[in-house]
Amino acid sequence: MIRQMRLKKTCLAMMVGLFAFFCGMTDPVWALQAGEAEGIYDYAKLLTEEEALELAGELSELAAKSGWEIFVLTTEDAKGSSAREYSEAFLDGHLIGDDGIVYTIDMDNREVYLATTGDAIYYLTDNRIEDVIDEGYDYVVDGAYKAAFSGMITATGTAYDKGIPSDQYTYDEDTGKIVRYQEPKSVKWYEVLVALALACGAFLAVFLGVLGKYRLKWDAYKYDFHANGRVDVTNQEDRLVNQLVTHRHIQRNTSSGSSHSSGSRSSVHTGSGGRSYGGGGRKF
Amino acid sequence: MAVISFKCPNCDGELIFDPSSGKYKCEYCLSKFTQQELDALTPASGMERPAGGADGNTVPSDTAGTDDANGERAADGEEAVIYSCPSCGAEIVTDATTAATFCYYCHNPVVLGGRLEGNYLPNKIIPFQIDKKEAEKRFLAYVKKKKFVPKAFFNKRQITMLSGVYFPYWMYDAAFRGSIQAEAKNIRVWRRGDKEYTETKYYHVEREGEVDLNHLAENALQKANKQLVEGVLPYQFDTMKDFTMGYLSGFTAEKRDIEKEALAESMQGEMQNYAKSLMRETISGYSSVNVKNNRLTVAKDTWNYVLLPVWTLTYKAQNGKLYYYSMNGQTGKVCGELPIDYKKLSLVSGIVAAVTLGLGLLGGFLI
Repeated sequence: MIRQMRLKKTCLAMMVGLFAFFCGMTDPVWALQAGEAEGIYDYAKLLTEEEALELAGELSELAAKSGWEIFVLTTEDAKGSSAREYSEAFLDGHLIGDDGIVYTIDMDNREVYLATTGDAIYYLTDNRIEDVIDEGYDYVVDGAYKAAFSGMITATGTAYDKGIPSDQYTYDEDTGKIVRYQEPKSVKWYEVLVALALACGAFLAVFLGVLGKYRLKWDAYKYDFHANGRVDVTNQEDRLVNQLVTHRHIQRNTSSGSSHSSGSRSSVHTGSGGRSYGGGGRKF
Repeated sequence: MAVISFKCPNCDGELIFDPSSGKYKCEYCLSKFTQQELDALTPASGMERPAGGADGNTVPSDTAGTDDANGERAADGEEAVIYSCPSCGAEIVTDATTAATFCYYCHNPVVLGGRLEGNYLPNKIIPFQIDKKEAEKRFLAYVKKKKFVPKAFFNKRQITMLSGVYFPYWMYDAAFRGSIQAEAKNIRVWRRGDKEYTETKYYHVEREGEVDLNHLAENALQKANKQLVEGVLPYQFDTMKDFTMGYLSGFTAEKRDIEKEALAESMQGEMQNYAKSLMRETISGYSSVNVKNNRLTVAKDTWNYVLLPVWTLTYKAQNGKLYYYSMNGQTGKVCGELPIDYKKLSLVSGIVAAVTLGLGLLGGFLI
């Protein structure tokens, strides 16, 4: 009986030990890298420790502003997947919320890639992603990876500051479906002011209306000249003296209707994890 | 015939005009008489003399029709004038404008006929159609209908005085002749292809004709509260009757002390404006009208001195404050200041404001 219990204890201890070992094994490099520089996953070791820390600061700044989760990712081995698939798989594994982006330098596929999801899709339209990649591409080619990431992060901040383009739309590459961006419904401060002003107006209208009526300030008798009057027209003339026709060219509004300008398109597709992703990259 | 009391041929009681039946009623034997029957009777007469008339300038009133001197003096007399009651012989003191009243002692209705003759003979009259009971009922119904009057305000016992008064008014009718010239525009817009066309047609418009306007009434008694007396207008003027003294029996009546000359300019100007508006309205069917000339001249005008029935009512609120009301004796329209329940009014205004705010925010949310 006692031996049996001992055996059980030994088994339990071994299982705990194994579990601990495997846990350590699954994420040994990431844990090491993520230790200080949060959000920096430099598997390809392209950044020095200082550079990683500096980038982490820039990341957290943009993250605080935008509310997105932002990562920097480098790899030497994309495990056979494309830069896009690798980036999206990474986001699938690391995102806690819905909104996030990852800047990836994939040395395996020799591609710099930016993947977006959630709200970031609306801000980072296809054109803006191109602009962001532009800011980093030349540095990547030159091997200045820190500068490449910094440039892309700054460009993303600029895009975020511009806000969502008013004519932004999302184009689903899988289904071809186009969805126009609609602002989440909310009450703006000026709408509150207008509503307050209307409410004050309504109060005064009722209050003063009744007050004036009861105090005989208005509502006094007015002679009704329609009821007491009669017109007898004996002579009537309506003579056309001039006629003028002018015309003007109607400006066709080209952006409206079914045609969408490509300037504010965000192309999206569904990633393997079921999440909707936007993004873009460039080979180097 | 300065002081008249209409007596019942059956019992010698006083006859008064009964608004509900439109006949003359004896309050003692309950007999009723029509206007024709009354006309055949000879009313009892009393005497008139100026108050403190030391010269004893009394005028016997047993002659049919009043001489001009009598009428004039009444018109000029600023002071109170004393009459003797045809029923009891007591002295009746009145204002210079009183034309019908009650004897203070025997409470019999007396009509001071001399006050309403000659120059002061009203052209027309609208007899009372609402009697005292009905007036009281209608007044209470009116107050009850008002949502912001304090609840404690509704009480029949608080009506301290309710009397039927014939007030004097000047009524002005005018016929105008003239013409109006205007430039008018009609604009039509249509699209063909990618072009928008605007067609503007210019017209010269002219109208010539006559405008008839009737029944512009204005208060003709200085001591009357203009707001209350004119607030009960309008009357159904097409039911006006030729004036007869009998209608005044049982009511108070006042004669005018504002002459038409004092009102003529403002009333004529007012009428002219109405006539111009009517003339302007004959031009229709245009996008815009620019009046160049609108000239009307009076072709014919008529002034009528009329007596119109008003119930005047004094109401004592529970805080002791007196409120004065007037009611149209023909239609029942009430005019007068009402007390306000500020708590209730604030509450309702607040609710309306809150609902507006809610709707406004909802609208802002949905936009």
